[in-house]
Amino acid sequence: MVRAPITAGCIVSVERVDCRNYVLPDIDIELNESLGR
Amino acid sequence: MKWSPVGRPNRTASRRQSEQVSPRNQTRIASRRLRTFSRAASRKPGVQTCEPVIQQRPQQVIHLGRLSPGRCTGWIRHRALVPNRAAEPMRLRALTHDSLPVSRGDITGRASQLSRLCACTNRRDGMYYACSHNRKGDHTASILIAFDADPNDVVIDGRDFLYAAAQLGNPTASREALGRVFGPAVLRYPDRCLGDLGAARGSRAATWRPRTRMLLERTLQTISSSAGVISPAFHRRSW
Repeated sequence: MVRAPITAGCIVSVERVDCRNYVLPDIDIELNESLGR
Repeated sequence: MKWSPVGRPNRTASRRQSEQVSPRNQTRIASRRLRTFSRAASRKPGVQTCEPVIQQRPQQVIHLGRLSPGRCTGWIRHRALVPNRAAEPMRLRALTHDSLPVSRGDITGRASQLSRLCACTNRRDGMYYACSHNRKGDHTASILIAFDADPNDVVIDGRDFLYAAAQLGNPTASREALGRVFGPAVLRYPDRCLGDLGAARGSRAATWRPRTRMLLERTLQTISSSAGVISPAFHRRSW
């Protein structure tokens, strides 16, 4: 968390994100592995 | 039958004897008190959140307050996990108490209630909140904003179990407990915490610049070392 307000001079970029191709990041944890099997 | 003061039971002495319970029973009593408080707070009408409960005696039992009623949280009763830093979550809450709710006018400073807003330190995390976590219903316009922020204005959100288990205490000591409870797959998180901490201490490049961009991963080093709050003392610390 950052102290507000965020002034206009601090903003570097504002971009619209295309979420159509977004996939959740792979956490690389399998069930058997998490259970220690 | 005439009542005699001589036969009056010494209630003060019995009370002292009852207070001299074993450390194990003290732990049970403290846990029961915390559970009772948690149930009472959740049943109280109008209460939307349960405040974090911290009780340092006899074994530094910490109950991380849940964010909403009905959502369970974990209990931390391992002495090694929270050595002498049990007050940090309360300090964090004091700093972020008036940070909710967040509205559109907050970023421009027009809202009077906001003092802080949520941000991520890398693009991958920001993409998650923009495209998955906060994208629901009519809120389908995902916008990613990058901005510079002073490290002294940054507070790490500690309402996370791994934060409290690893970064709040000793990552080395918490590694064994985490692995025993959650399995070997969770060990990557304390290992990463140890790695970041070692890299931060061993690298000259880890020194904080006067202003840092909120898309840098360098904040992870701060999580490992400052237990949540970036203070001016940390800013002046030399690695």
